[in-house]
Amino acid sequence: MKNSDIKTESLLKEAARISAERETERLAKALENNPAARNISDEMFLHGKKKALKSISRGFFQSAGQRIKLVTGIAAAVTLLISSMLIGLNGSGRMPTVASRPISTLPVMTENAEFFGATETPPIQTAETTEAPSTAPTGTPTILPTETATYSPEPTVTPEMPRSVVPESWEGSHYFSESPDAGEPKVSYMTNDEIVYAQIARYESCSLMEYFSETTIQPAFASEYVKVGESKVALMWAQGESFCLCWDDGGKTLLLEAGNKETLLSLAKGITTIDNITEE
Amino acid sequence: MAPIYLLLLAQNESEREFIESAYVEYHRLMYYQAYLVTHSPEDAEDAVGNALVSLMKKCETLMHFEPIKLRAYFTLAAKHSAISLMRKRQVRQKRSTDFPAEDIGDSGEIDSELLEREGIERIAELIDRLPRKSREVMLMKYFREMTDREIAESLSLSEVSVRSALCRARKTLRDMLSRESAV
Repeated sequence: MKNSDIKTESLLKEAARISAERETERLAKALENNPAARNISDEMFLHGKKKALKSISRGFFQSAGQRIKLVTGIAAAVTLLISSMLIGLNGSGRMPTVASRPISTLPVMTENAEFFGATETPPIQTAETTEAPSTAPTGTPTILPTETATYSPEPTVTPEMPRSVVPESWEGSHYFSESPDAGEPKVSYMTNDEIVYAQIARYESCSLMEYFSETTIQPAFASEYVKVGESKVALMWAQGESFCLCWDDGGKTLLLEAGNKETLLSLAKGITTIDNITEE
Repeated sequence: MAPIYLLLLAQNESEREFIESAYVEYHRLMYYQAYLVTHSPEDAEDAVGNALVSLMKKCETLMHFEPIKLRAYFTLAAKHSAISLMRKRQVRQKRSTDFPAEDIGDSGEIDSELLEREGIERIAELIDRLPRKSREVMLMKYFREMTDREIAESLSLSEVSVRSALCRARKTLRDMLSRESAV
């Protein structure tokens, strides 16, 4: 490139910068001084986050060569919450009697319907199908066992989770990708775009959409992440209560664990490879 | 707080802080800009999301920008992302382009002396007056420093078409400068 060309390019760059900054300044003033514009902006920010996030995650994961969708992460975080709620896990780490938490008493989702794109949701089971199995006591529908279990935050300890935590009507449905047998913590590979839920390894779970049909809880996308080896492990949680670890491994997201934050952090720092995790 | 998908792009704590502050500072302006292009909240959000992701991948470079330049960069990225979104949709619908590749018989080279004589501010004004599409291509090339290939991908064009569009934009600018000088 000739010197004059370089000079021309440099001048054009400088002029383009000034032009761009002027345009942005005009735009910023318009936004600042125009209440209608401000409202539009606010509305946009509040509206349809799901779609934006899906788009963003699509772009991110495609460009990074990581074929996972953010919605899967959301599903992971929220499904954790399902599990926590279903087993009655509370912040103290103790599990109250699960009978105190019949699913029918969970708040009904209303205002969040749009947030999560009600028109895009897969079929939501009707009240009849999500109600208690026929063996449940009459009166308030319950999905819960009569016995009390204790939550152990230790990741290596397999919890004794009664199968009846999950309504019988859900068992064997397409919401489960694997046998819902409680047992060894498993690593769930989530690469399928169609998957809108994540099965929690340790606990049996219901689908994301079923969960949202029953609750008003929104996942908060606040997060922390830790770097383990060459990968990043994201901690995601909802409402500051439940956490999950998502391991981003070059195209796969592994939902590792559900539990409290401290446990997950220590778990994350103790693992270095995917193999280690799989052996968990 | 910035969403997790952005934070995951950070390589270290300083990048993470940068992402946080940039998101808080600019996302609203970006939405507004994208909305002006798309006239659709959903599309605007999509465009902003895509723009943020692409911007965050360059955050090592962007961290060193002056705030005013950074704001312009973010806002233009949202705008171009919105244009890209609209164009891709348009191309899908009718498989045509607004920038047909053609031999315009002129590389659009501009004499640097001519540019210097007019002064940067004046050139910036003339860039503002360029036809909209020519201006956006100019800004992509010279402000955002995108390669021809990146511009082509962004606008769903061939690289040849992008080069044609750039030549045409430079030629228009040069003609405007010549006329200004003659007056």
